[in-house]
Amino acid sequence: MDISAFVLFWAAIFTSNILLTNFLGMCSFLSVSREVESSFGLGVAVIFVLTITAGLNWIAYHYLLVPFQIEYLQYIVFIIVIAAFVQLLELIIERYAPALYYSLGIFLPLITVNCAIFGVSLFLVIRDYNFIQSIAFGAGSGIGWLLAILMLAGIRSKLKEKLIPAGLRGAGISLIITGIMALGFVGFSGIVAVQ
Amino acid sequence: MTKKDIFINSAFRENSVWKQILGICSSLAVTNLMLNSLIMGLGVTFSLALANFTISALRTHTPRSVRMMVQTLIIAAYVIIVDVFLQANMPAISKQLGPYVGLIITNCILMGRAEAFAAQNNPIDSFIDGIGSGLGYTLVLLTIAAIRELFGFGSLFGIQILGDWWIRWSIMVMAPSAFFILAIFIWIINNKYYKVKA
Amino acid sequence: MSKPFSETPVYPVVFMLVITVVFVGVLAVFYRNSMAQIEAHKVNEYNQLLVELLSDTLADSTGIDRTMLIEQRDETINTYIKPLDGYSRKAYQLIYQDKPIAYLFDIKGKGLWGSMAAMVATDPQFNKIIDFAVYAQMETPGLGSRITEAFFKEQFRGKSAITSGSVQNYSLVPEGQEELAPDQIRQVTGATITSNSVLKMLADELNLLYSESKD
Repeated sequence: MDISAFVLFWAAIFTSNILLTNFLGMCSFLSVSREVESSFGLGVAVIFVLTITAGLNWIAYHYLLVPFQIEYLQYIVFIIVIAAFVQLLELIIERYAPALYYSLGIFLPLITVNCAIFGVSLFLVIRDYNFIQSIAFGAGSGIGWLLAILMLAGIRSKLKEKLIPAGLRGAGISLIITGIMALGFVGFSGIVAVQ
Repeated sequence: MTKKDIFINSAFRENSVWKQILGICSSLAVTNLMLNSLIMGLGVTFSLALANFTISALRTHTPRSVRMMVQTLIIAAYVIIVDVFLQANMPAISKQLGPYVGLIITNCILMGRAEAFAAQNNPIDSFIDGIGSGLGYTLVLLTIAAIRELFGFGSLFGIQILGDWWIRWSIMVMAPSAFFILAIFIWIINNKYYKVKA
Repeated sequence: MSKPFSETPVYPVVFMLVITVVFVGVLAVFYRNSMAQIEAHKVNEYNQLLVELLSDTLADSTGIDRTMLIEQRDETINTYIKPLDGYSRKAYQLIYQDKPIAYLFDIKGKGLWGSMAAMVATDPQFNKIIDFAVYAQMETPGLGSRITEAFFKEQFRGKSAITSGSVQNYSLVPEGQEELAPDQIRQVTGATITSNSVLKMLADELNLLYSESKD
């Protein structure tokens, strides 16, 4: 692949934003964005997990799956690597940042099935990135995800709840805001080719 | 709770999509066509029920520190088994489902139900909860897809309803439209079903 | 008093290993058993497509009805279609009266979600594309996957392959456009990236094969 890791990094944040362009990683995004604090905490956790699992899964794919010709186990291996890493992270956060642990609740273990993380690992295999590109892509995607969730959290914190119809509060209005943001990001499409 | 209560609860009162806000990624991706939504929904239902059953059966033996990895492994294994079974016996359907296998494994609903229900309840109840959650999810998917396919392609389940005079709404073909349709759907459900007051 | 095994620190690791072995084992067994059937389906579809893409040319030359050639697929393959050596891709030639009247190549490319594989049939001089079809892809169902629909793939019939030594460049126009210049291809609405991937695959592969044919 001829794209420089640097360009890939920036593309992953803006023009191919994992959440607003590829629509991966929605569930925790919608629920945790109620507060800016926990959004930031979750976002940083996601960056961490994304960058490291991108690297780990690259190694797993090229040094384990390909040499033994068991590529069909790719889904299982990737998700196990991610699950193991998140489990480790959960233990660390519970020990050293209990406040964050309680505010994240079920969404910490749900990082495991965050389609964004799984999706990044799948993409780096499909698009044949080398190790440095994978790390750059993972880090960029994580930052892009953080950017998106901070944007939504920021907007939601400024919204006057009373002005929103009762039925739309919470999930409904978040979906609409995200939809508008996604339409905005469509304007970025085609600027940088990521493969 | 009776078995029927568990089913009604998981399918409607605690619906995975409109109440728990899980399974959103796939709701955006597959709802462009009703057929895709149906296949995805059935795939999720099947995998979810089996995974719930197994995870529940192992719950007393699973050590807390590897809980998530075990759940993930079991979920992934069942989804792949479903996929391989389809590839071998119903290749036409498998071609439609193929790209979605990855999406089912990471569908938050499976992990969410495993953590919230299967880890604390017996296998039979967990199985029913799985079926209920899956069917509730399928219902939401089909509703969104009905609107997107009708206005975006003019058809329902591939059968052309609106003729050539209909100018297709391109936005319905793109994923952001699912955001808006889902938001409105949740709005209606909140007002009519849960009767949320201001 | 010693702790029960389930509370020792090594228990989680053992548990995890056992579970992994059991489930991956079940999966592997299931997969191996089903592989034969899955392969059979794939070979079936592959051969079907192979014959369909070449059937028009064959029907014109031999005078045999096209539908019959497709129905008697295995016989058609045995009689007229032979492997073609000397290329880095799997290649076939259509032989009639001891002369090749068409080539068919198994080409590969990258789509949005995964790799794609297609067949392109050309005349032996690489002047024109006789027919084209994508037979494996992982694009978004209902969007990118529509490249397998007739309206899209049939556009390539009769289009120029190589002109003056290099591949003809094509550009995409909206799906609904009526008038088309010879170097324009209608894309799939809402699937620009996938449509472009198809064009890129064709261009790269044809370039490669043409340069190999001159060696």
